[in-house]
Amino acid sequence: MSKGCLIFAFNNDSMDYVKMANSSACNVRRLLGIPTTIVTDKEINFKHNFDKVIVVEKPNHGHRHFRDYNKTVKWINFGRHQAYNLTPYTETLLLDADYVVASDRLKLLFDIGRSFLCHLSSFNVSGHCFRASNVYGVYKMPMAWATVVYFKKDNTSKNIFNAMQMVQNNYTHYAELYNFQHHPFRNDYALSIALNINSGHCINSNEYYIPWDLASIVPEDSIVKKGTDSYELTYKKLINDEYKDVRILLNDMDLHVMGKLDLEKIYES
Amino acid sequence: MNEIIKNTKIRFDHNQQKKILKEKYESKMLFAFEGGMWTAQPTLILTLEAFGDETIVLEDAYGNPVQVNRADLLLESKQRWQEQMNAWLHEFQESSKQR
Repeated sequence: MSKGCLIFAFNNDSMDYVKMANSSACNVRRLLGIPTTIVTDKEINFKHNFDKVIVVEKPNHGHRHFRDYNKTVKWINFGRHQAYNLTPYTETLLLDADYVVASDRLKLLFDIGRSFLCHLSSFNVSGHCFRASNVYGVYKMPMAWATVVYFKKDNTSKNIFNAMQMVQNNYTHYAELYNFQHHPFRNDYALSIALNINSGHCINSNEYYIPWDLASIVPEDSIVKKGTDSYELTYKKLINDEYKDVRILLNDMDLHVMGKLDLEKIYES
Repeated sequence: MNEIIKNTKIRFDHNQQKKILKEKYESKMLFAFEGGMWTAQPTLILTLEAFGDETIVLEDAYGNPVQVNRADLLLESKQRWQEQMNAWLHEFQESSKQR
């Protein structure tokens, strides 16, 4: 039995996902005690923290507007279903490059004994409403998050990743079926549909879900590093009919940092 | 200098900090034991205390019935609950000092 972390990272003109993944690999080793393999499209020419580098052909991409960069950039996020075949581990923690590991919480996923796990729900750490981000399509289907996925090399996981591939290959059809925008392609939607198919179209099943919620930081808010595994979040809050900046401290808490500009600064500091 | 003055004026959101600490420590109460997923909390501890049997069947966090060694799960639950409650209290008190 081998355990490890897998991160897909494809750089675009604005964002260096490989560097983000490299910093993440360091945290994964320190806090979870497991090695990290990166899946990318080019050899890495700097001293890195990866256990293994898997070079694949650059997958297809969509375009997405990033509010923090104030521009539309290439979003190279296709091919996540390949994780099942590419992983060198029997138990894999598949992380997005923008997920900041700041605690040992994810160790628990290896002890649960499940084939496949991901987050069903996410919350905005600043307390603002996040309900719309936890559903997809006009029918407001519950959305699974592809940000953190744990899977074992078994038939259950294989079926889920195969279904993800099927959804990706027929994305327009599923977009019409579930009534969501078919651009850009989203792994969260593909995963949600794949899980729905594998659960026999029964949305009340909780067997694939991590039993706590994903903590997310939206690009409108600002996060800075204060120390090892310690961050300060600043955001706007309505106080006496006026929006004022307020702050909170986040210690030893894993975070999904959606603002990539802040994420780059965090990893540079 | 302006940046420093600006930063000192940013007030601490105690209400939200309290909510985040609750969210964080509730997740830390979760643990895996003998094939089940458990939440260390008074309900579980009292249920385990209420019985004297060597083994007990309880519903885990995933809604599955799991047979466990009662005393071992009790010990694990108590330890985790106390450890995390103490850490929660410490972090809560530290954050209360923020202005």
